[in-house]
Amino acid sequence: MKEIEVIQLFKCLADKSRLQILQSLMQEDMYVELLAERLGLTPATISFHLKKLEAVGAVTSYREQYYTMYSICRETFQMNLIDVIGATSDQETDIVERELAYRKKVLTTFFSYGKLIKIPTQRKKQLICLEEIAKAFEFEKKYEEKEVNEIIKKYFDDYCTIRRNMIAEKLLSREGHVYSRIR
Amino acid sequence: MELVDKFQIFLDSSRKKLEEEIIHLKADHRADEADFIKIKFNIYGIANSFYGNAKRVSPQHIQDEYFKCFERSQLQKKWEDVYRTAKEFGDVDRMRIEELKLETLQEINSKFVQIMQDGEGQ
Repeated sequence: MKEIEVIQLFKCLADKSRLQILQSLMQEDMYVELLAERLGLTPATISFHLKKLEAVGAVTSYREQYYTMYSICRETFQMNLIDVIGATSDQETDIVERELAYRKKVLTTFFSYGKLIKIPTQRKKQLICLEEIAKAFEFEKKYEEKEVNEIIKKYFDDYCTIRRNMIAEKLLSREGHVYSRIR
Repeated sequence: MELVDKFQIFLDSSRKKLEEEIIHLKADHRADEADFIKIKFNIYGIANSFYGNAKRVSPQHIQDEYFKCFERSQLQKKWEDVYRTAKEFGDVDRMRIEELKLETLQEINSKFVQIMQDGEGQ
């Protein structure tokens, strides 16, 4: 288990309702409504907690007839606590993970369901957003300006600004009216 | 005026209860559930503002003005739109939040209508 996963697991477990859900699942596998009834919480709240627990590998789910059953992930909890705490990551991995986390945070802030909400003012953040949009362009392919605009429009209405900025940031190149993605 | 007070009392007492619930949930290490209640508390706050505005702007037609405030704000539509998009993208967390906002709005406005209808029947 990686250090970041250990932190996420402990953060997730630091909640009374989630601990109670795990205690119930230790006895038997259950579905949302049954857990809700036993713990006196709404099914929506139980689903919310189960999703969090599933994300950190504390529970797993499977289909049984009409129900989605949840079970405790015993491998996670049978791990030696000393080994779990001892999970480390080297400096290089740390830097990569921090960078990835930063990118994720920027994208979460400036994108909503695949659409750019606004162009970030800070250059570093803007570049991350432009790189995300650039993923829609294939390498080795030539695009007409109209095609470029159509692709960018799926992300942001002001396609002119984005197109210009992508060229300025050397994500796209332009020769006449033909554009291509730069590696 | 009595009807007006009934709804105001409902809003005030509900907000007080929710506030206490938030404190209780936080003390009981249920931070996420406390955040959900905070959302409900905020919706009650919005209703309180709109109701206060309706009383001030149109004391003779409070019911109409109160609902007009909601219509003008487009809040319900916005929440429904976000819920739909969240559903489309399988964003369960966001769905839960928007669902909660809509449920709370329904809860408050049903109570408002009920109080107004009770008043008319008297």
